[in-house]
Amino acid sequence: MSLVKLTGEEELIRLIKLLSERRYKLIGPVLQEGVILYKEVGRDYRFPKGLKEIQGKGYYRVFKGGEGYFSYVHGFYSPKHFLHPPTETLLKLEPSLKQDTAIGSEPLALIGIRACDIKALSILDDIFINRNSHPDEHYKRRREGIFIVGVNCVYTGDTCFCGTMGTGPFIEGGYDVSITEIGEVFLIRAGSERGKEIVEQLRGEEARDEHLKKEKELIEKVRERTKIDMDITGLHQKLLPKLESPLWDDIEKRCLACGSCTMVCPTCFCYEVRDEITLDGSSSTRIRSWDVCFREGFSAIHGIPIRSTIKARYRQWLMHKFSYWVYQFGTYGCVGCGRCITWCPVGIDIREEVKKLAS
Amino acid sequence: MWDHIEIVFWLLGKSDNRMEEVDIAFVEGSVSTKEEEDLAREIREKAKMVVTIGACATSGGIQALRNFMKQKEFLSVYPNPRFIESLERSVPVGEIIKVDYEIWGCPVNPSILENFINSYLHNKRPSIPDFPLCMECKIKGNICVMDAYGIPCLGPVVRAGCGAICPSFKRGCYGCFGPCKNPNIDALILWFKNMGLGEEEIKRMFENENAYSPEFKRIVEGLK
Repeated sequence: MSLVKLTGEEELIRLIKLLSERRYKLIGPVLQEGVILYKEVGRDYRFPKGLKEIQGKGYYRVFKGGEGYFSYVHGFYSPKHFLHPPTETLLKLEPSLKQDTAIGSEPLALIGIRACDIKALSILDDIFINRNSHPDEHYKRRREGIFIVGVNCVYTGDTCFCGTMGTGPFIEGGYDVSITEIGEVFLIRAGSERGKEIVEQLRGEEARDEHLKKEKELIEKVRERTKIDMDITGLHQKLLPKLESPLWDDIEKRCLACGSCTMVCPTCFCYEVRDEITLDGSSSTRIRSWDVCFREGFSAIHGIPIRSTIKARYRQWLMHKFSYWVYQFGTYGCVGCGRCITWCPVGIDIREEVKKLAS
Repeated sequence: MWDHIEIVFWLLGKSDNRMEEVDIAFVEGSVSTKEEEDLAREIREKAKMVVTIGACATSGGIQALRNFMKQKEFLSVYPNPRFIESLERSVPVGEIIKVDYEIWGCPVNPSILENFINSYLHNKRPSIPDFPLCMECKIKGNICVMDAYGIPCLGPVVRAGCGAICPSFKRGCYGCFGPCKNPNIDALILWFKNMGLGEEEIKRMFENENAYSPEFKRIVEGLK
């Protein structure tokens, strides 16, 4: 499987063609209304070229003037949008108890996703399948047969912190094909048997040590840039005694409890399920939608919210990501993608909040 | 729906109207006159359940903007103000009688109203959103107009339910669904100021059809 090829840009087009011939539904990064979003694309898809992203606290802009194909990171869509969609029908039920579970989708090829999102995908797998005593059939069905074309980041946004979370920028596993852009050329790597079958058909030479060395240099530069001054070793334990910290009061003054952070988070998985009945009661549809721990009613038991303050809700979210998650699923719930910082309407920076709490 | 409910009183919808005992009274419009105040009390007596629909009935509406002035001040524009028989303030129905449910919006979202009736018929609790619009907007997959375009938006403090119409068309939410439950308006205002908005501009954003809701009223009065 250790197949790495050095290719030119025309092979990126060929890669798309090979995937579409294998009848994957292609999802790739597209510039749409000023944001780079993962969207369904056709067989004629081309990676957007020359785009540059500026990400900051509550700030996102795309400009022309990037140097290559991958001189941006990502907008607010992540693989979660496709595997655990914002809203979906789970079940249709009729009085005869005839059930229609409405599962079934063509296999997806997620193209151009980054190391942080690939890690997030493995976290979602744990939640919905591997560490779940009742694996989620809807998620599982979509997950099966998925093809992942990852991109190793040689560019980083100002809100990225994968270097600290240990989730990037280099994709270590969980992919079929990965791409590293090195100036005018690309290193294309196979990460699975299915990936190998595709990479073998790309034109190019076997990558030599000098190419791999150059790749490593670029990646390491990004790794350094995505490191914040924080050690995550034992962070989950360090945070536990901070439940009564006055810092939460300070966050409460700034946080809107609007839930944007959870919606754009590639690992936030909470959902609610509701039944919609037709007026005459003849059939019922069970719908699942994302839910948000920042909603007061989210924590309601018998109608009474147990986290009625914004401070309690923010604390639940942050502590889940950086502490409880470890006890629950064995990893941190944060992959350092930075989306919650960029897409917070009031620019709350989780890196700073965690750092303050941990110190 | 007409097979399952009967409407006995609807001035705008039919000519034969009977004021009799009903299961649900949906009340539109604010209370601005003595006549309306009496009508509201009569409705409360006749209806098992009173539901306000729309910004006017729920928070006083656009006409409640006059509550921020003295009645004298604007009566002077009429040549014969003695014919104006209005109350000192235009108030939400809930200020006069007990209201069981509130359906916000200007206008309301018909699907929320439909869900309400449907839930009632099936003895279910109605689902009326009380959370911020951002949640609905993100579920829809909308691009955040504040983060990506720098457009001030009330979405983080305004009640969901409209389907995030304005942000879907690259406009900031202007709050026609009123405040969400426990909004953190001060935090949003602080950010607006960072974006370069002045106090007067910010105040005007809350001077809408829900200006008289307690949460918005505080801003409209406080920032004066």
